[in-house]
Amino acid sequence: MRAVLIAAGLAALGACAAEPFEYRAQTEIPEGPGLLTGAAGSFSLRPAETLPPRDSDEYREFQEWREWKRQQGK
Amino acid sequence: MHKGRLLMVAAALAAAAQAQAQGIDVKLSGQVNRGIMFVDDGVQSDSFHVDNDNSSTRFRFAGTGEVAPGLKAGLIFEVEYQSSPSNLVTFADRDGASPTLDERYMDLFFDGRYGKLSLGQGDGAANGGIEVDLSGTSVAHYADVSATGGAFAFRTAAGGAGPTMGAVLSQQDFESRYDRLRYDTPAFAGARLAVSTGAKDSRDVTEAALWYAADFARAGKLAAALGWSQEDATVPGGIEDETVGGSVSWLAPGGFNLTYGYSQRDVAAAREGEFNYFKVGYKAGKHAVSADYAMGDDQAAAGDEAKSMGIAYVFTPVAWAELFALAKKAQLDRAGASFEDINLVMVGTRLKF
Repeated sequence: MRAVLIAAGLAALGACAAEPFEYRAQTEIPEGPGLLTGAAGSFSLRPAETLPPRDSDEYREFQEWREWKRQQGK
Repeated sequence: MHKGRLLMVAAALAAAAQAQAQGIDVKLSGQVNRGIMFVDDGVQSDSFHVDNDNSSTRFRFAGTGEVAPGLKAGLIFEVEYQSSPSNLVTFADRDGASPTLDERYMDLFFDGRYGKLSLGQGDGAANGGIEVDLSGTSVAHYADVSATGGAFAFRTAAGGAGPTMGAVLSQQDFESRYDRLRYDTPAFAGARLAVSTGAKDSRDVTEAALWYAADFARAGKLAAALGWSQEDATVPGGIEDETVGGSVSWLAPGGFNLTYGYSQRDVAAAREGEFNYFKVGYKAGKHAVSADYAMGDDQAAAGDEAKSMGIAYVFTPVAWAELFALAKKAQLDRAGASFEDINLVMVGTRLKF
């Protein structure tokens, strides 16, 4: 009976106007920044030839983050 | 570390290298989740250094790449490495065996306009369906109330041991993870259907679930799941282990939240175990608090009535760090026996690296 009520409730909610979002359990590894991985939240394993060029925004952001980490460690 | 475990990690790295060659960007991430737990079972008390099994210490390789316009392929390789898991320590075994790498995900998938197809060790279609929770305190407590202290036995005043907390207060969350083929439909207005079939513990397993998550703006966020699973009988004429249940969680814009979960499982030939879970909480900024109440009926024996009630606080000073505190009490009423309550306190922290 309870299962039917939950199903009916879900069906009714599905018919309502709402913005879907992706539910993510808090018991999984959190998204977002990491202590060691910085703003990216993960280490990206890429071949050297795919690393961003030194004049790219991505490389500059990494240098800024590394400098920030160095300042934090003082 | 066992040779087999090293080979498993080497295989993951080799897969990562292969993925790079195929244009998949592989990412490595993980977390360490440790706590100190104090337990009093009415006869004995002690403290324990534990790995918080609400969200164990683990790491993962994950990556996705486009194989065709509108079609992505990806992989997830995730293992946990727990020293003294909070759900396994006991007074007789305070630190447990040496930690080992235990599989969580060895999964690959294709995701496109017609849905997502997954193959490998991973979530069954309904896994987590009893545990939907928007409270922000799941790292301290959630529907899996046995994740902290689950191996402690209820004891009589004379010291006699009864069933463990985990045996009478399981959330019965379907079939967890196993080797399976899974299909998820595309989401429609926040709802999607998932089905999976595979093998677990040498038994054929089939699952189906309806998942829903939507933001109603001024009415808050709502997430819910409804699931069904079945394990074939291990022997001809044996019981087919069937589970039905679901959960729903509502988070109001101001931070107030409510969660409810329910499951019913065939635990013996003429017995169905039931589980009910209630949670009320509030979160604002870096702080989240909640109180929960769980009931497990007829799970280990007919007539058993087990209860657990807890309060928790989670402080998130920065996005990658959470500090948590939990206090809870578990009780068991069984005909013909009188068991002491189990009281538990745990404090700790989870750091994402």
